[in-house]
Amino acid sequence: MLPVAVIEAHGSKRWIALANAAASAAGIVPMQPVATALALCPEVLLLERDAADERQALNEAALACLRYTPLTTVREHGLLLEIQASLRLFGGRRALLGKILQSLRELALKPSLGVAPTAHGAWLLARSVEPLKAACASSNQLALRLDGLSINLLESTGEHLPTLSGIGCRFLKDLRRLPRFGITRRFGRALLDELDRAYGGQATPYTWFEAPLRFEARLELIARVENAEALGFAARRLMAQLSGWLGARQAAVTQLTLTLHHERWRTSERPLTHIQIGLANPSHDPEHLFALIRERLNQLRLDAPVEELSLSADDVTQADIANGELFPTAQSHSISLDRLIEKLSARLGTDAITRVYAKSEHRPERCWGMQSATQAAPASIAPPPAARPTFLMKEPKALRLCGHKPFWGSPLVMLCGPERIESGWWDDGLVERDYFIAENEARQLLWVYRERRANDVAEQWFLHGLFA
Amino acid sequence: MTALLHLPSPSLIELESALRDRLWRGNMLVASNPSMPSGFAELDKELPGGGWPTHCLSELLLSHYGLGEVRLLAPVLARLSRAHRQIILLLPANENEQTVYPDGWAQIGIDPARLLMVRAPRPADRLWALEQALKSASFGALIGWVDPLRPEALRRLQVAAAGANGLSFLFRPESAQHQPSPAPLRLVLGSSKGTGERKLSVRIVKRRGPVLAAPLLLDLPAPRPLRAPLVKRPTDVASPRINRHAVGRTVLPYFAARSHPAPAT
Repeated sequence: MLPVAVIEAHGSKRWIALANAAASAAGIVPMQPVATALALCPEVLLLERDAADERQALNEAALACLRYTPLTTVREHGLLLEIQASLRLFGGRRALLGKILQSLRELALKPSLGVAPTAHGAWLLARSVEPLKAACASSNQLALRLDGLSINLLESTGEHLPTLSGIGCRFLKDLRRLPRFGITRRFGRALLDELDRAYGGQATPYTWFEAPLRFEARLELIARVENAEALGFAARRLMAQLSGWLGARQAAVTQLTLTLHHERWRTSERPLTHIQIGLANPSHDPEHLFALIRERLNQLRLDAPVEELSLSADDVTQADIANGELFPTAQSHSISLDRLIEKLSARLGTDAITRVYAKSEHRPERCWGMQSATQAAPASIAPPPAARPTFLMKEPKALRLCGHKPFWGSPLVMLCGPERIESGWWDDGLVERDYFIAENEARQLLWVYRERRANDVAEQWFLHGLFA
Repeated sequence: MTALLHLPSPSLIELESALRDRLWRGNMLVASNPSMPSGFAELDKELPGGGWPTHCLSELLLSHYGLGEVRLLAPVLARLSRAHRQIILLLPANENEQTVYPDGWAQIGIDPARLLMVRAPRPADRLWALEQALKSASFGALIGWVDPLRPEALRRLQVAAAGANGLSFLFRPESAQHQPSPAPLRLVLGSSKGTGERKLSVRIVKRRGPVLAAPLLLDLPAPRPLRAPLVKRPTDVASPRINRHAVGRTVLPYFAARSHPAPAT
């Protein structure tokens, strides 16, 4: 593994802020001057700390976590979530932590988690564990767990750290043993306050993170992506934020736009590809929304490599979050049907999924219409008075004659008819036909007609439908 | 096991009578999933579970369309549509030739408003759409007109169908009956060869139960006026009647003749 360290500038001095495992093995530790680090390990890769990027990542994480609790606050190095009220809804502490961890991993973050009855206690615990690990303490264990933590973790020690270690204070329990009055006089009020906040002796006010009114998230890709399917992974990161935002606003989305920002070509504008996803029914389910996006991405052919993605929710409505159902009911059927229609039309196009409706007409080819399945269901159609086939030829097929009988596979035997349909002299589609139900030797039941105005005798019989 | 073989025969009989309800014998039909009555008593008697099975694929093999394949399913589809369940149709690939005629479906009792039609010209898309529909389990019945299918694709569909509590039917060409298929129920539809009566012959080539030797002959519900005889020399009867009716009125001369007996006499 390549040794990597992040450096931070304090005035003119530059310090190591963070080192990875390989760098730590070489002896590089936080708060070390850069020159020392380079002397210890010349091949270490030094990266400048980017505060703006960090804040952006924390904001994204806060947005994603709004799904789990509305009480989220962004601090300098992390997030504080109030989860007491969410424990039951998400099935207990372990399940909730798993979900939070999963959401943050989708954002490509490696959090370390701490859970405790006090906010600052959880904060100290989280800072004491390794990434992707969680430290939990119940209310009777809290004091015990905190006692064992190093005083380096406290935020308000600052310049007093050498003094504190000089008088033998290495852990929080040592600090707690000192007289409170003495601590205040020597190290200031802040240290004692922090200690009280952690152990629960003092309440902490926080200002909670608020979701923006409009959802718009951008994601700069690390590498140029030329494969539309690979964009799915990046889109997933945006979806995690969207689902948090929808959860916080109790909203459901009916229209989404995913915009692909392509690589700039010479000096021209950056070309954009907009993928609009419309939903028949508002949805707030990240899995369903992501499935729709993935279908659209799979179809896409990229003209140019993509540098950046952005996702915005264009049309948002209030979500009516239904209760969970133990057994499938009519309601859950209709939800899954809507989802099926959306999924199919995402890949096949909206006009591939249709329903039929009736028109007031006598001509068979004009008495019905097709509408997209995403529209409201059409009215029921009453059964017609006369026999009608289940399938209709789009274009009537001319039948040839065989011994004065129309022929389709074999000579046809007329079973029933004629039924005259004569209509449409007022528009261009004048129809004058005598319809018969016919059968051939293969026992297919056919709907045939004889054109009454045929000029050519051979052209007067047509096949128009099939009694399937 | 060996101990059981050495038992004298009377106790085997006793054992059998004790296990009667729990013992499955090779000549009995197996009903593992709930089923829906087909509306044809002769057919229900031979189908495992007494009707069309849910949670699995049922294959209907036929030489050409128009034999009455939809009318065979009409009773069960009518019942589903009355219960406001959806009927998904994955239409044949040559869909630019035929379309669904809603009046015809209404006539055999199926509300066309419950039909959802899916069109996909490419075979890969058709399979995908079928699988998605089966997985969604949101339908009362799914009917797919499919092209030649590879066995792997069929197996995939059968696995997807196992989760669906609706009916799933595949219409396949008759030539497919000699290919292996994971579908637990396979029927070959044909016409009765005898003259005169119009019956649909249904041969059960695969079911969970013993082989059925003879095909079943079913009386399908015929299109309604078919029960009426054909009018002799239709043009002579039709032309004087037509003039009396408003332009564009649908007239069935047979009914017209029956409802107005006076002018003929």
